[in-house]
Amino acid sequence: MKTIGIMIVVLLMAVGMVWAGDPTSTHYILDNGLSVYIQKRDYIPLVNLVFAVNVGSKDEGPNTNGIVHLLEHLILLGPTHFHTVDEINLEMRRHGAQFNAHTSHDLMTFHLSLPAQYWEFGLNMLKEKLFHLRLTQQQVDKEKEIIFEELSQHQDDPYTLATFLAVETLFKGHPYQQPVYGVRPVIEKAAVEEIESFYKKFFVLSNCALAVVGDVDPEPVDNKIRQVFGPGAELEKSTVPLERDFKPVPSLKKTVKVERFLDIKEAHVIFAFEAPPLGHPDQLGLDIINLILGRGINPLLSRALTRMGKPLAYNLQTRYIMMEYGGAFLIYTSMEPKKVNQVRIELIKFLKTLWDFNYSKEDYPLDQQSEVTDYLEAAKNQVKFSYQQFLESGLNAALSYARNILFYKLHKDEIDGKREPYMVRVDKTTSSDVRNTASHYLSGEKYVMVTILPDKKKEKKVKK
Amino acid sequence: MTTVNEKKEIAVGANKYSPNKYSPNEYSPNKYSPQFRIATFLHVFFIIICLWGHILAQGQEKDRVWKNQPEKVAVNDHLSFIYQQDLSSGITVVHILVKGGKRAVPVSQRGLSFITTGLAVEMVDIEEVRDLTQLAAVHYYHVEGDFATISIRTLSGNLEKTLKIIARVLRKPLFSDLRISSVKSYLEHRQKAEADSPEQLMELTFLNALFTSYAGSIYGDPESLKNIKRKDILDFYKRFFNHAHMVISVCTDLSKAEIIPIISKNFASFPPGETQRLETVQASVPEKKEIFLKKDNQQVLISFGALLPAVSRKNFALIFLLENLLGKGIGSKLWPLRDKRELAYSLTTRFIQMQEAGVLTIFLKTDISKREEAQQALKGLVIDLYNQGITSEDLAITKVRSRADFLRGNETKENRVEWLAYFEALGLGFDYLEAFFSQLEQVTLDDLNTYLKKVLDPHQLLEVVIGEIPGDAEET
Repeated sequence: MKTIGIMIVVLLMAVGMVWAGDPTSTHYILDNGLSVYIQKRDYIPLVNLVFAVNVGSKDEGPNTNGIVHLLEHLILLGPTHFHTVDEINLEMRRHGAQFNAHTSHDLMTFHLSLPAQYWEFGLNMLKEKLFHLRLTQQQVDKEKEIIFEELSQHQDDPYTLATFLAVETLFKGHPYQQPVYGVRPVIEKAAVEEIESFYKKFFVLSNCALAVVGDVDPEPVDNKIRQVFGPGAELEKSTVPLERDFKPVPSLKKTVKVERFLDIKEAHVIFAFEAPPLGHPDQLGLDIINLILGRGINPLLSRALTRMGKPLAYNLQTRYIMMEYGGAFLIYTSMEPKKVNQVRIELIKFLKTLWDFNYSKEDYPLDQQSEVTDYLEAAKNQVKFSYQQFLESGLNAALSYARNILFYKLHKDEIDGKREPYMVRVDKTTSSDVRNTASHYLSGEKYVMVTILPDKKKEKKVKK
Repeated sequence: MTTVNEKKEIAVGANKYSPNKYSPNEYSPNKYSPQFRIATFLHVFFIIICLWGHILAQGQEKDRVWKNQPEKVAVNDHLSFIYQQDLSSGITVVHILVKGGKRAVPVSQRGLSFITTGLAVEMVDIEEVRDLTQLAAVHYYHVEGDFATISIRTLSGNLEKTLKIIARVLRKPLFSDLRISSVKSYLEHRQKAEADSPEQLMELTFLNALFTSYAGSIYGDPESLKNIKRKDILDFYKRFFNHAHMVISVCTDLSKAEIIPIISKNFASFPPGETQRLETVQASVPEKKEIFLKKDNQQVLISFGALLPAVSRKNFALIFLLENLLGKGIGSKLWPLRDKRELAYSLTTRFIQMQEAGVLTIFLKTDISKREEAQQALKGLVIDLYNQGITSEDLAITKVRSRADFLRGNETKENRVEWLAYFEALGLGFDYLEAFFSQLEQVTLDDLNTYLKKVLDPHQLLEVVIGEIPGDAEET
């Protein structure tokens, strides 16, 4: 959660850096369309390679929901045309590598972290794993079993289950409605041919981005990338241009409540609200609200949900999920089951006050300014802190850069200088901006509320 | 190395036969006199020694992993802090480790360390809360077997103001009944959350079964919380929140000259304190080696726990290697249970190494229908490893992977300050952050196989299953 939050805040800040002429970094697009970003960071002898592909559950339909996730598993854990699974795994360990992958609504990312001296091995291995995949039905069937285990694990975890249900309900009528991890009946039936058609369609270099961040010299890395992924490498799977036509997420018509039961002692609740997509002008406002409501030592929401010095709810967290075509703002909390309704009433009542809340000292008369909390100032400091924190982790940085350069077009205004850099806009944000954004997105009028309750008898397993 | 006396002697010689005394073309017989020869020899010897020292130092520096080595800085006679400069970001993380932890608390008052630490950093003054909020500083606390910790993260530019507020609260905390009651409510919530998480429940079950003083939840239990009174909290605070029990570690981009006055101003005035005698830890494997906990989930958690010996420089490297070899990542020894037998999505190993003992957990989560097969497979794998040991290739590969994992785990300042304080408090020394790598290299095949035989003895393994329990088993 924490990492995701930081990543989101930092996403746009990093764009500024990518195109700001940073001498330790380089960015270019190869003739075949692959976006590349290289950054030298020499404080720890590690290198992180992240390969992002613009394919996610948004590219699936009801009959293919789960194929992208299955494909991710097969690339991560399957054989290639040159090596068996055991050979690859052994080589990875021999080089101290940590290899992982992640699928979201919009993206598939592959992350390889390894000691810096093995960067060449890393690039070669990424190429082999991603572009020389050997698909067999036997391997596909084996991986299905693992994915079923993964699905069961998610169903047992109240937070993950609640997040799935909230996103599914909020994005009803849009491809984002489909769960990222897929649905069991589709995965059960999945055949090699179907997976291969996704692989060929989306694993084209113009649909991909590569970020290399670590203790490496950019020049030899640049040369090697051109050799491994350049036009001569003949890695294209398809010559058909990739065309997409997604509509924005439709608005929620009314408040929807969803309930599930698990064998737990505490209740878990998620409130989900519509939010702007990645690159939208209101994104900054939501970033700031996210920090004001749910972060820091005394977030505003904790204060709102405290009565007589005792909290009504615990583990309060907020999260802003930004996607290419839509967004979601989530408020998560856990509490005694009997307090669920009271928390809902208090929370909605509080959200209805956000439109005229005084976020900044400037909102008060001069003689009162020294006695009030400046939440806006706190949020601005948190953005600065998050940015500094982002500088420490090579893997997080590589992930952010890969996503940024892949969603280049969403940041075009900023890159072309038509919009000021993120940090400049953060500094210029006023209390009035925050109020406007809050009243637009968090008015408490329409929302999705997912409650996971402890009740063994009523337990309804959502296996299918 | 050249000693002080040697340096003096050479200096005298050098002065006596300095080039200024003789012109370059002067080849008088005196130049080849015994005195001259000795002086020349000493000259050359000195230069060689210097060069050798320089090369050696450069080599050592080159071999060092951390560009800036951590060091211990004395603030006064009682308090030292560990400092590491790291220019990767403009953040400072201050980690305060207070020795004591669960071990310092009687069974009837479990949760006392957590309550005291929580109240010791809880802001009372509304102005302090406001100031800290605006500074965007974050602090959090935790309790473990041998200590409690408080971590403070802030922009380096805000460090002075942040520490001023937190240290002031820490020096004079308010233990009012209202606040004690509020923290107890929070602990009750945490107890339930702990029971709701199969992994946390597993860890707690192992600790309860294997240890005396390390047993019990850090959040206490409903009975123990009732037993904790204000005077107990006050007493615990007085006994442990002092220089004798504090280890402070700092990772920052600030220079030593900048950080010393800040730490000194805020922490030098804590009382020196007297080292408290802690209970000896009793660690033993119980006779009943299977524990079943019922949970109506889609998956079952199957785990094995192994008792670990006390911490030492060598043992820490050994357990790090064993954990990595067994269950860390793709290609580990556990991996075939996922890759070949499709028994699990999540499977891993995790060690908790405390001062007097520790526990290694080996676990996976599987569908109810595969419970029996997974149980046998997991146990079989551990037994095979115990019987066959590992090969030299296994060891070589695991060393490379462990080295990389240790680096990954210490990349951020937040993680590194924790390890620095942990190593120092547990007697390994803060310099273990660097020494870990050479310690790892020193481990021989025989070392690891001997350790493995000691730790993974199948007759001493404890099994904890959480989920649907077998028909013939009783919930424990």
